[in-house]
Amino acid sequence: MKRVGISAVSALLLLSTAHSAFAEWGLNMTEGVTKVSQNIHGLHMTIFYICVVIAIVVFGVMLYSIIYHRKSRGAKAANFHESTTVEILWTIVPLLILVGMAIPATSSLIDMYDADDAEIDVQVTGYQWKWRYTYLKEDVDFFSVLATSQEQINNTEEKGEHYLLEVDKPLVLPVDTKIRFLLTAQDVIHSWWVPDLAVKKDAIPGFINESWTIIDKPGIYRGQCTELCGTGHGYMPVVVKAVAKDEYAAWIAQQAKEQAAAREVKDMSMEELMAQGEKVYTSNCLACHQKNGSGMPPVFPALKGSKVALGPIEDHIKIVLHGKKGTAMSAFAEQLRVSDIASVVTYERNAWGNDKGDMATPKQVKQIKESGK
Amino acid sequence: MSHAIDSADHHHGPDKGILRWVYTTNHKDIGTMYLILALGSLLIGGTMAFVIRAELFQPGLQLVDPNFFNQMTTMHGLIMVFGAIMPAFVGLANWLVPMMIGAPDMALPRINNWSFWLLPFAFGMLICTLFMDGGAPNFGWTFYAPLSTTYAPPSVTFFIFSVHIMGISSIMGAVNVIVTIFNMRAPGMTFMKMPLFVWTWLITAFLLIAVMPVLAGVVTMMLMDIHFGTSFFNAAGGGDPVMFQHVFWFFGHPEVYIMILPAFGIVSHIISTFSRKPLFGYTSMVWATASIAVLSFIVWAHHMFTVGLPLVGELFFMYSTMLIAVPTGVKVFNWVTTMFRGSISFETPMLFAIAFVVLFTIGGLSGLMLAIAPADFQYHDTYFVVAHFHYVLVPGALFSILAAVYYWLPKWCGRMYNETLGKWHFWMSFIGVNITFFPMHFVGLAGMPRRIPDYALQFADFNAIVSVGAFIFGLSQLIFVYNVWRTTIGGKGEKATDKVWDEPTGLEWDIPSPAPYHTFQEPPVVK
Amino acid sequence: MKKMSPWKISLVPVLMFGFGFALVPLYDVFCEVTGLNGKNFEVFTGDKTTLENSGNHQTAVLQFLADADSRDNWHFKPEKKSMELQAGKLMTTYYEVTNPYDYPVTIQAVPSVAPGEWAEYLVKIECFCFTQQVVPAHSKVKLPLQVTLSAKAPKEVNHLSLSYRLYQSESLGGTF
Repeated sequence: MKRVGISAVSALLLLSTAHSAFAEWGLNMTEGVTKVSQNIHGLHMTIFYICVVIAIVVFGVMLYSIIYHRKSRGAKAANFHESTTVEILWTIVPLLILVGMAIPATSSLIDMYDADDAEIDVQVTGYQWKWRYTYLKEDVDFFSVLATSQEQINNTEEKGEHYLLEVDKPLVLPVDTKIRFLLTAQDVIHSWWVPDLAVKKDAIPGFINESWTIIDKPGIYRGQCTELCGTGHGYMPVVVKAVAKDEYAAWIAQQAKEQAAAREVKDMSMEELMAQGEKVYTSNCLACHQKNGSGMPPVFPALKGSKVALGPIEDHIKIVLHGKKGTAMSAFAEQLRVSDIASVVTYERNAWGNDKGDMATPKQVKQIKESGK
Repeated sequence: MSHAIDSADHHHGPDKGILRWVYTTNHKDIGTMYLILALGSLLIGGTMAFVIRAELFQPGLQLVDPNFFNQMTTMHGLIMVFGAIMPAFVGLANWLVPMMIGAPDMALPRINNWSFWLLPFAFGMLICTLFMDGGAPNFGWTFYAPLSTTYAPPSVTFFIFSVHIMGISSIMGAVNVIVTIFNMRAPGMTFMKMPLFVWTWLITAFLLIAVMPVLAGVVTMMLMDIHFGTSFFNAAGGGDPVMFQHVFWFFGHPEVYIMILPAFGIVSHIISTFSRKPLFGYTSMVWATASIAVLSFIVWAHHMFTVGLPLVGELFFMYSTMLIAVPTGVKVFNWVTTMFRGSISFETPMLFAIAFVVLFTIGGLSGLMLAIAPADFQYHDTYFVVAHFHYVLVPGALFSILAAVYYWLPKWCGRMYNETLGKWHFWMSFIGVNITFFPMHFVGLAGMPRRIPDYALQFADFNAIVSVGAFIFGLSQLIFVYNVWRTTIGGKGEKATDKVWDEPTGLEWDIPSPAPYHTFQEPPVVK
Repeated sequence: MKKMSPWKISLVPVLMFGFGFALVPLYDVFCEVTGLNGKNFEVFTGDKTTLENSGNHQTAVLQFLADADSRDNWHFKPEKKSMELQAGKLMTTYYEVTNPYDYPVTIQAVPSVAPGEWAEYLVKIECFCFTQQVVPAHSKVKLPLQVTLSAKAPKEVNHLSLSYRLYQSESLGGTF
């Protein structure tokens, strides 16, 4: 029984290795959509084939000895144990192979480090656990958060096609344009990776790193954070939407207008606050504090019946605005609009059996935010 | 010579009961305890790997929450590196180095006792963190600042002390090995006549005393940052989180070789014995080992190609890393040539040794690919890296330890292990290890980052296969545990001859099987 | 046979423990030599007229970035998003920061230049990041910065990005 299972699995493995390295199964590195990524893919394949040849030669000799020089076949052992010529040869030959590998690798690397000026500058800031994109020359600045629902993650809903690789707002970039990324982080080290662009750079708090790309083809390119950054490390995808230049120009103008409008503060009713609050809670708070507000103590405290949610409303608003030092609770003052913060605070005070009955108004949040207390 | 050891009056053999083990200064007893500790750690670390693989069997969160998942990956790494592989090699060194160089014991027997008995406390403390408020360390075994300082759970302090204690233990163990090898070789045993296991351990011991203190330094800096307000790694105070990575990997890369050099020695012995042929290129083996050790100090930043190193830095570390392929290649060629025109038989130790050569070479070749800096921008921190280092550590270091136990067990306990069970163990392990780690190359290349508790759907099929392989591999180690138990404590198996195998070379085969409690009271003469 | 003393060999780990700490200053040297981290901009303390008479008139765009623990709350931002630097010509600009709190706060700005390898061509004559700054309660202050492009800058250096990350005093460590 066990053996059948093993041989089935190993057959599957053999099958997959037989097809390996040949892209369509998603077994191999992507060729990507930039010159750099294609260059890297080519280099990767070259080195891979060299390695395969080395492996065939070495394992071939070994297999030959295993088959023909076995005791059970009556092989008699020879007694040689050194040969300076051979030993010098197999030091020199690998060295030459390495030089052969180093030459294309060096030239690719020099290309990648070309720091010439770019048309668009995007500051990429890693937060626990989301990305912030700031278009430096335009007045556009937003956070990009995982859009996959907790139900999908907890297996109560069917998983979508882009499970864990979808965000609420992708980074929109034009094709055929040199784009510079300036990477930094707010809290811990993150790493911003889009395989199709072959851009992977660490985002380090207090320091700024630079990388660049020129995208050849419009499309949606997905990646993930690749430096362990805490609990939500697996949940901060990167989505880049590459569009034609004119489409990009229209989009960026639209964004600038919308972001200016969002800064105005309107009054909202209790119902509006609760409805919007639930949405904001779901995409920003639920991963830690859980759907029913029960949290995951002691790391992520419960909100249901908590001192904060049932205490003075100013303190509640302040914690959401500024976070709590020394804990995983981050500051949402920059990430959410004041109306979002007002709604989520109202929601937390009146959901899951919390029954304060009071509400935070956007004006109140704005006032507290600006007073900075 | 005998003034170096004061246990020479223990002619009556070991004490009885538990105190024998607490007070022992006998290298064989201490070696046994190290090996048992390593086996225990292997099983604990393996259980953690089971948790990881069970969670990753399917996409979505099923069994554990992401924070606990991170604790599991961290503890799995720490326990396997510091608790399983390293103590296993120290245990083998304790058993074998004195017997191979014709010494009656280690040079510093009481230090030896102490360095062992520190370890259960270090690991006890580390494992206790799992039950503390805020949980165990969850920042990965590489514990990059500031995730491991400003953002760490409170248990990080216990983690730091635990690392300090195991570091002290390793350093004392290494000093002991060096002094033993320098001072206690039998007359006539010149350096270039030393068995390769002794040679590789000597070089490993030098690596240990050079880099374990640096690890101690880096965790001390963390401790000061966390509790005493310094800013070594905190940008706010003028420190630098990237410096943490430089200092850590200055320790970390030699550490990688600490875990593989003794394996080279073991495999050289076994391949030579079962090919019934002297080892090809003994001198070049010694030089290759030494040059790998030296090179290991100048390659550290290849772990950090994406932190934003300047071009010259990337090029330097790419070239120096590629250079390591040369001495490593020499070793592989030597082993293959030793087998060539031999008279090979395939007992369990040989099977593990052959698998070591093949699978370690695969790990070495993926290491060569990783050394290519531009391509590393796509490989870095993906499952391709996970596949690479597991290939060198599991079918590499671990297989060599298993091979060593099978090879020398008859000498230690005087009975042959069960060959059929040994073969079952080998084949299950061999198949399991490849099902586990080979598909990781594919998911890594396809873009799956390491250390994530949940993944996108395109990685699902391979992850399921990997998990199945992990369970096959993990459970098949129980065959090994049973086999060793029935041979030693169970007292089953035929009596081993003094030579055990056909014409093995080395002083350890000149003494009776099982090896008496005290050996080489009178030094042998090596011609 | 000559004996090796365990005490002598034990000196190696002791020295290496010290070496671990010596890596901290060595690392700074390493950064300076290789340009790692963009920390090795030039701090100019000599006679300013020597800067102006270098003969090189190359220009480059300098872009300003600002980050704080809670960026919007502090209103930490550069007066200009970017400006044109010319070798030898001293340029002065400001960053603005508002202390939103009821009490004075000590801040430290940590600079970083990208691309790191070109950081050495940014010459700082005056910078608010050299020292800690005290910002009174509820007030806005202008933080001055005087820079120029180094005369040593090669032709391809046509842009630089200068970033400041603001830290508040309570998160500062004790090495000042």
